[in-house]
Amino acid sequence: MRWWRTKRREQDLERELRADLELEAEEQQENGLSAREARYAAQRAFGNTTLIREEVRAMWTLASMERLIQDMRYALRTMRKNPAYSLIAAVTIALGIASTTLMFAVVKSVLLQPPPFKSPGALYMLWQKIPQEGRVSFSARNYIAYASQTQLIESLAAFTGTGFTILGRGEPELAIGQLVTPSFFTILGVAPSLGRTFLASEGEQGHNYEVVLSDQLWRSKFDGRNDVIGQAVVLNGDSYTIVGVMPATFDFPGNRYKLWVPAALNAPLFQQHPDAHFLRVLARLKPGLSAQHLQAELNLIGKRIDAQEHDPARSYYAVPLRDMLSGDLRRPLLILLSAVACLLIIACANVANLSLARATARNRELAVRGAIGASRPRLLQQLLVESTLLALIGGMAGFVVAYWGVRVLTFFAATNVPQLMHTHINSGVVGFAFVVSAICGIVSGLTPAFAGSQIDFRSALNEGTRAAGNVRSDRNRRVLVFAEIALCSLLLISSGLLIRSFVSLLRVNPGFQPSGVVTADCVLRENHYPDAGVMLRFYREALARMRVLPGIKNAAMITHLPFGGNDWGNSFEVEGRPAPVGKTYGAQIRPISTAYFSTMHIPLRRGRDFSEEDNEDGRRVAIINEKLKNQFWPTTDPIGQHIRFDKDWLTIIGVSGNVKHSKLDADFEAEIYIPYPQLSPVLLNFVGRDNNYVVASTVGSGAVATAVRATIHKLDPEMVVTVDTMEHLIDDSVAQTRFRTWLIVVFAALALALVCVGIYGLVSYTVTQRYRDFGIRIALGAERLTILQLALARSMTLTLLGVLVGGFCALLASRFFESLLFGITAHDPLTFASAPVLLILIALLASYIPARRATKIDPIVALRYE
Amino acid sequence: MAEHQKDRIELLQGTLDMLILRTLLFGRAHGHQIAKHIQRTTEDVLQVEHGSLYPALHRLERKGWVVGKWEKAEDRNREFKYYRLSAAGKKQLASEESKWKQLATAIGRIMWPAEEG
Repeated sequence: MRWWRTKRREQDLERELRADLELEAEEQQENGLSAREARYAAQRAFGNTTLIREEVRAMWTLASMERLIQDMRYALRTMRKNPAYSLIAAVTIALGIASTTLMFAVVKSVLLQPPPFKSPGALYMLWQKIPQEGRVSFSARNYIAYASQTQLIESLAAFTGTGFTILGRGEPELAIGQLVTPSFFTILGVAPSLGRTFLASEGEQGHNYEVVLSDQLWRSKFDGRNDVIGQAVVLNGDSYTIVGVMPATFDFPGNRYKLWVPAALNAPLFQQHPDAHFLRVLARLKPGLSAQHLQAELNLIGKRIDAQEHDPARSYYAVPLRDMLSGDLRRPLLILLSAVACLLIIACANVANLSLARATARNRELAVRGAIGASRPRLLQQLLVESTLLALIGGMAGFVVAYWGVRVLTFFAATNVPQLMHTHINSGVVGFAFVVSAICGIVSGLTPAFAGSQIDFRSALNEGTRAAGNVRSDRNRRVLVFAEIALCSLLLISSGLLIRSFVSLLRVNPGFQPSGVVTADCVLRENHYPDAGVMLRFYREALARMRVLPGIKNAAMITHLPFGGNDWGNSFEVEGRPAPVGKTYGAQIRPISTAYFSTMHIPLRRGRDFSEEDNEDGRRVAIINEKLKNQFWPTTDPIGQHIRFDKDWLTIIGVSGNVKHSKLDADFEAEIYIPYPQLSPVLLNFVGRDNNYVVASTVGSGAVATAVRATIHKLDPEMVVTVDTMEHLIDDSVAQTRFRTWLIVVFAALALALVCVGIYGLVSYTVTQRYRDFGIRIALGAERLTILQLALARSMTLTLLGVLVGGFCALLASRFFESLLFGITAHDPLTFASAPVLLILIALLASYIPARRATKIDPIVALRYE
Repeated sequence: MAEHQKDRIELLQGTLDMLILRTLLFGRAHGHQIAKHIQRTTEDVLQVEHGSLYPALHRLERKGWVVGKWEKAEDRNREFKYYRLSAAGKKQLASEESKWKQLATAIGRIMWPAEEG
């Protein structure tokens, strides 16, 4: 509609109304009324001409659109007029939206987004279960047997991690890679960004010298050059041809793996250890089949395989790949999402409260608009447009914050929680932020809009003479603040529980003394160290040289370092105590050097430590930990008893203290320590290649690290040495817990800040409303303290109520995250007592500041106050 | 005002349009005359609110059923906006009339079945 046509039509209507109105007046006059009376009568008959004009205009134009634009313009003008209010409201909403959007992006990419593989719903990981261990990998023999018998699986792949020393490309570098059957990439349905993946023929012995690089390794080691395809690279002493590069988004089975090499199951590595369980198995189910079908087949074939191998204790099971990937993150993420939802509700309540206060202050403005003809729906619409516009502006700001938040998050996630690496903002997240902002606007605008549009115009216009409060909006404000406090209390208690649990996790005694211990990890490669003789020579020489370094108190070696990420679970027998039929005993095997216990400060409860005589020529000996001792010899002395996990019987010569091996919050496991040189040559070759030297010193860890590295390089300049400190390794193991604890603490702190604003606003408002009342009381001689009490009473009652209800909700909610807590119960009395006290104190402070104003009222000014 | 309107009948949605068109069948009329005519003819039973009259007139004008034109009044030396029925308006009136008749008969059959003859 062109504006000039609209204008002409309005003039036309104006003229028409005036003409008809005059005619009515003339007729009234002809009936005998005076000119004045006639005019009034005519006006009465016509009623509200503004309303007529508006309705006619609505008839001609796309009125609703026009009104909306008008309201928006008006809203923007109002916002500019009250920058403080608009800023606080927008920032509050922005905070809520930013944290909610961020968490949603995380949840979406970790829990909701299917893994980036071809029809991921059909992908399963296959595992075995034995009584003492929940999850066991397949052996090569099991894998081949299952692959040849299955009817339901479309394709099957096996893979296992292994280290590769990359030579001939600058500094020697150790890269963790995966040995994968050629079906690995096709089963996932992921294409390389460069070159190709493996051909089926490359899964055969002799054809397996090809390598696919990860995007990261390709960029760091090969300068991201396209011509690497077809080039040779030396891995563990053998020449491999680079055939492909994977895209940056591909990081299966984890982002620490930098390359993939074909696993030839008929190669010596697999043929020599056909019964070692180290293959992870990925399966793609044929279309139309369910997990139940797969499980039934696994049970059937599993039994057949067990019977062939006389190993009846194993059972087979499948886990959807998706569940494997999100793993233990599901619950923490859902809790964090609920936390931000609470935060968002608090933010909305705060904004509602703010605009409610303003709506009351705007009573007169609205009343005037109503009196000159604005209809109630029209006022309601205007108020809603205002709050929605504000929320959208806040939402946009919040979205920008969330966008940067995701970048910060992925930066930290790289080292702490690799699963969060793929968090990104996509259209779904944008849509979510938009919808949530709009809902925020409507929700936070609805209460004030209803309160505002129900103003009794006459009393509002007269309000100047009567200090009349709007009872209804007062009650709304109190309900909002109460809800805020209750939610905040819930958040505070929840985060308090998680903090307390985290602290008790850090306080766990790992069973050894990590401080001052430097670790140096090196892997003795087969091509340089082909047999036990050379391996042991290197090990003895390295250890001897380290022990004489200046400032070194002690040095030792272990193959499976606590918090080093490796484990060697094995079955074992006790002489004279055969395991019940269908069962085996299991323990962790730890090959170590002499002085390991004294270097790590692990107490020796009984017997003696290994000595240099306990070598490959000596009597086979073992030291067990207390956990194992208590399992078999709770009251008697195990020294001199015999156990075995390999061919030879070992004599127990000592009992050590228990040690946490991979997680601070895990239970102790049964452990068997043996002298490293007494490992059989086969096992030495197979599980003894990883040497972790541990060095206790009195000097700084930096100097020790350099000295240890230099010592090893003097022996073998091509050896890749990874140096770390024991403290750092333990610290890494709690990274994820720390991460989620910090997140929820940040959310709770934000909630607390918002609640402060809410309470502050409520009390300021009360004081302003009762300004005259307080003034009169002071004039009549009321004590300042009484006034203070009066001003505080309402907010403190609300706080107490809110804290009670919030605490009750926390009691119910804590059950949900009981499994995440460590060292405290879900009803931890200290947290349930201290969080409310903190909240009450802060609420008191937030209300005291405005309440103090009430005590300083000058009665004379107050009585004149209109 | 509510008490005065007790014995007046609220016009059904769309009925006002029909009444306006019917009024204009006699010839040109301006808003005031139309309102007065409907009131007088129905002996004040149907009170036309100005608040609904003008929007209705403009709605009919927009639909092209009536044509508005500023003309001098016969008895007064002033211009008023006179509305006339257009050809389309006549057709519309006919169709609304028949619809109304159907409705009235239908309602009558239910309300006074005995009088049916």
